[in-house]
Amino acid sequence: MYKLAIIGYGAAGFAGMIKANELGVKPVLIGKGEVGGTCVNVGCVPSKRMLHVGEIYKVAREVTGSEVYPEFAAFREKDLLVQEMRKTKYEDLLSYYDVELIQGEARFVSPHAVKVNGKVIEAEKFLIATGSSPLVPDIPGIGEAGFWTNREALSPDRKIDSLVVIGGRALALEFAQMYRRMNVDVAILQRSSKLIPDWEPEASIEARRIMEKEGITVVTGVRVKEVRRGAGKVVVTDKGEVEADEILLATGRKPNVELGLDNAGISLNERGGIRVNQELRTDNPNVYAAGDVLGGKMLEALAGRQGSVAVENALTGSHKTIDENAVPQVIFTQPNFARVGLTEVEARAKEGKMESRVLPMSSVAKAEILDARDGFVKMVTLNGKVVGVHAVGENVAEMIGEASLAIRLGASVDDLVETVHVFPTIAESLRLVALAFRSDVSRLSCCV
Amino acid sequence: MKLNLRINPEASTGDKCETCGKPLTSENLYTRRIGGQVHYFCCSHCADAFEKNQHCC
Repeated sequence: MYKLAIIGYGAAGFAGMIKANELGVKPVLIGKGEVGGTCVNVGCVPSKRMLHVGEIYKVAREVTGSEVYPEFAAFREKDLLVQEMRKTKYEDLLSYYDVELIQGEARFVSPHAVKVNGKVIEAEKFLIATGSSPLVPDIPGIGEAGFWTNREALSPDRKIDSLVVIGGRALALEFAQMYRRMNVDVAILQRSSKLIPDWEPEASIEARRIMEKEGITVVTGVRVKEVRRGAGKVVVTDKGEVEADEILLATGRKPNVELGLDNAGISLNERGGIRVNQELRTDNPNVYAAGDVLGGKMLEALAGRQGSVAVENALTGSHKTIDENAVPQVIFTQPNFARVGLTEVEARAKEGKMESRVLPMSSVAKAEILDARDGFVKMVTLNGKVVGVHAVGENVAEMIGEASLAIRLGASVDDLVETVHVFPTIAESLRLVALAFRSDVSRLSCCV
Repeated sequence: MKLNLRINPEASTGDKCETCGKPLTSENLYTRRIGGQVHYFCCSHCADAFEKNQHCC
């Protein structure tokens, strides 16, 4: 019997494997498909590379005044980066760490055993880290017409001239901008009345403005009724039709839970993910779960942290938990969208005095220097403590970690004001928005 | 093919004040939770008017 079996070899599975080794345990690692999971293969790594290519060409157009756009060959070139990162960050580690790898599909056959490739594997403890897959909504005709998910959109089988994106959250925004910057006509169809509706309202407003500024058509409050083939692919909605070369479904992801969970006494939560407690333990006291399979925030860094904490709890009974309120989230469009902690509405529902300030990026010297004035930074406080930071702006992804730390450590507005930040940086906007609780920032000189 | 939009983008509920229809920006935005839902306005007066309308009948 193994001491620990890890099912899934993406971010959470690998973090769990490394933690197990740190604790002197050699786990068996069971996975299927490409090693590394979604992030390195068909998620963060390739999509951020393609967004970066788009940024370079945007600068080129602005500098040269000519209409230069990336070739679709750029999608193949990004594969070199993916292969390299998969090798160095995942495959090579399998020989560095003390682990037994089994490739195959695992199914629980009892509370303490899974079957893989016809072989029963028993373990004292399990970590389920099987990730998620694109959610394909039940739209009549979508199967017959064909569609893309993030996977196909990152490795297109042909050049397209137009794209309809169904959805209006992070993935939709990133792919819409990515394709628009390859000179593809793009329309976003979003069911809600706002883009990124679960973000701060200011961010939702900016999202639409920024997408439209790129030349992307945004239609919100629209219901997709069916999809059919015409000259291209026709999306029929309650407000009319849109026809394009291709359709990208950006309608969310579903946890991969086809694991024979009933046989292990493990139930699902209301999001269709595996139900766990604060310590990431499932209904079965010997089985833990981490990452996208929980159906919560599907973030690479969070998955990794969960994998590590879950394995530590499983092997040592350390009862560790993760402060989800300090988990940052970013949309890697240009400008970035970044957030951590509570929104204003969420903070208002808590006990205590809620205050908020919004600082336009045009008040930040570095944004002026970069000629990147789009966006804002918003800070939400409760009794003077920072509980939420929400930002839209050039490279704000790089500063949101500081906001996470501030929330995690219970920092006050004054803590941020009294911390000297480098001038001129976008990160300085965090201090400036804190200063806005005390004074009119537009009336201050630099470096106050 | 070029995008063929046989849809009126104006039909989209858009980012406008839910009372007076003024276009919203991150700088003039005012939100209020009414009836469990966040509503978007350009000022507190419009939010008051919206809320009053919700309660009048």
